[in-house]
Amino acid sequence: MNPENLQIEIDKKGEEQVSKIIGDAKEEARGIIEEANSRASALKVERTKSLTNELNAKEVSELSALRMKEKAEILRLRHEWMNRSFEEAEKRIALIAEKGAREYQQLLAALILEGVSKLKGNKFVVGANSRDLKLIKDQLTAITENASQFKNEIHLDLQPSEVGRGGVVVSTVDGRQYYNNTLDARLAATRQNFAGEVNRILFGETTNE
Amino acid sequence: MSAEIKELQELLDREKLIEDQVKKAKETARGILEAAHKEADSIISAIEMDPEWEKLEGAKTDDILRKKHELEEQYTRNIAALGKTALENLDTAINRIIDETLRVKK
Repeated sequence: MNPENLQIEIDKKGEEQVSKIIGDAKEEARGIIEEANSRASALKVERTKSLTNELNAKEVSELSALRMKEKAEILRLRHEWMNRSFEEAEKRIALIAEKGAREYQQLLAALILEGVSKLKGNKFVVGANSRDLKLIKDQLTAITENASQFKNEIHLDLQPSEVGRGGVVVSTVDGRQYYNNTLDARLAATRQNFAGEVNRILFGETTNE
Repeated sequence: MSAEIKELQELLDREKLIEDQVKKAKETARGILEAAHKEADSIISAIEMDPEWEKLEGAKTDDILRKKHELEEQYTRNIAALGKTALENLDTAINRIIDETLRVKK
């Protein structure tokens, strides 16, 4: 090969090498950008998804907290109305007892008879406050007669006792058995057994009963 | 003889020139790749700083606030209705309690 051809050959190879280096770099650069674009798209999808989930969770949490707060408030209000009903009933029952009208006198008799019917034996002690004891004394004979319909030879001893707003505590003479028929005890039993019904009446809910 | 040396010298110079060009091409290639990496970084950073996220967050926050406001209004109405119903039925409830408390089974 003559020197001129050799020179041409060297130039050609040199140009090829330069061109390849630049070409390869450009190709690699294109790949880098393509990969970045593709990563960016994936990142966008992922970020959108995670931000949406985060915001949805925030919504659920904040609205749930609000709903819970309302439920608690409703419960508190229902409880307040329930208390108000029982407190007012308690006042009215106390008034009925204080007036000592014929109906209350009859009620005392019925309370004693119920107590007697629930306990064993024939001799009983009837505990009541002094106001009620007076009302009971007036009808003691009638009560004893009524009791004889379900028990023979009933004997009732009256005894002053602290029984709150009224009513009676009937007990056996030995004190082993007693039947608490005070107005307070009856009111407490009503609260325990009829709270659901009172709740339905108050809030206008229908029952399935 | 001297002509041959001269030719040889020219060839060597030529090769040296080519080597320089290759070296330069490699530097250019490095530059191309550096620029590509820089651009790639800025493409990724642009995603992080996209104002769309703030818009999305703002829109959702507004939506949550609106729903909370609606719920609160509904609750206020529910509570007022509850109080009204209870007040209307209070006497019936009290009478039921009194009847039950004073009712003695015969």
